[in-house]
Amino acid sequence: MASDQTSVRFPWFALALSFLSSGVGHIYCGRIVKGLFLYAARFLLPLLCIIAAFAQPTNGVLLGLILVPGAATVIIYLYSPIDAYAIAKRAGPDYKLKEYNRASLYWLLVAMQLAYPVALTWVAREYVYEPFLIPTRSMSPNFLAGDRILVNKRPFRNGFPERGDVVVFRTPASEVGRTWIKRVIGVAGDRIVIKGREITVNGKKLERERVPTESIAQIRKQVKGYVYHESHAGRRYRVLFADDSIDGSAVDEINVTVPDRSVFVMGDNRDRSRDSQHIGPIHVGDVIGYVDYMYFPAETWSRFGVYRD
Amino acid sequence: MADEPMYDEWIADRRAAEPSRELTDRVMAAVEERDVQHKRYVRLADRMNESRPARWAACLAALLVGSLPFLFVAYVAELLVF
Repeated sequence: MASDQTSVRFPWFALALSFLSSGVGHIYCGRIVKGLFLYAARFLLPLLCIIAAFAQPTNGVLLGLILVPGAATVIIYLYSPIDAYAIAKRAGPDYKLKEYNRASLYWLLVAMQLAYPVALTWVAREYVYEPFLIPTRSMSPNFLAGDRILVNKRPFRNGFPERGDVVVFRTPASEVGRTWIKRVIGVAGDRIVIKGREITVNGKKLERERVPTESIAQIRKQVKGYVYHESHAGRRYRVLFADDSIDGSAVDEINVTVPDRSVFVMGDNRDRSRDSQHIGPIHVGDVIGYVDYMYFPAETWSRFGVYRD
Repeated sequence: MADEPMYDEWIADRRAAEPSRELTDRVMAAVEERDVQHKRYVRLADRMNESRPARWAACLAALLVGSLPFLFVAYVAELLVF
């Protein structure tokens, strides 16, 4: 609804409002439909990324579902001020004020759009996915130093971590770092025996098979040593040893039964990892979640996407 | 609604009420205060409109504040490490 009052539309003010919040500059210039469309787009596009992550699509589709909304958000952020500036310039000094041309409305919209990413990120981090940067090579060759991963914080498939899952957990206060990433080797009730490099879970030795050097050529810069495929509980994943001797690292023989509501975890870089061999089993209450995605891999982008062993 | 006795009684009561002597003054003061506040905004905008550095400063400040959510998301995603 237009009033009889007229007012000048300052182009620089439209520009500033649009920099603060996409679409508000348009609303200031009387283009409420376009303004609300641009404003709503900035709200909906980040949600698409989260919905895409739930669907666990193929890597190509996932990349598209992240890149398209991401690029669209940036385009809207850049387009909105330029367009609002041009509209304000055309509007001139005789712009008829509308019902919604109120400073309080502009600031409310700006505050909501500035607060939205903080709120959305907080909710997503707290309940859905939490991003982590891997600082060490203790999970090489599967996770390298510099990898960025998304950890799924929703409940585990069967309520508890399973053998072979890669989990992130809170470390005991005495250890370095707030969180560690390791692989679950044993769950509550399992008997774990480690002699040198030989691991036995409930009397069954974990079988290994040497991986040809060519298959890890792309990550060779970070992966020094001998890579094997290890089979455990129907999973097959790669582990790394500094050399091909059978003695392994200098940890004494381990013979432990995993207590109730705990898991025994180990790094995939078996000679360069501090894990349950040193600090004992981890309480499941300290487990933050399991690794779902590698969204910014180190070394090569061929490792991008849904994490699979 | 108009046929309801309670409503009729209420409206008759309202009509009988005498407005206080200060009511007009209070209304006029509120209108004046609103105008002063509005004029303050307009005066500030007019003054900034006349100064090129002020316009640039306002737009740059808005750009900085408006890009904070992008920086925040990049920081949370561990893409920016301080």
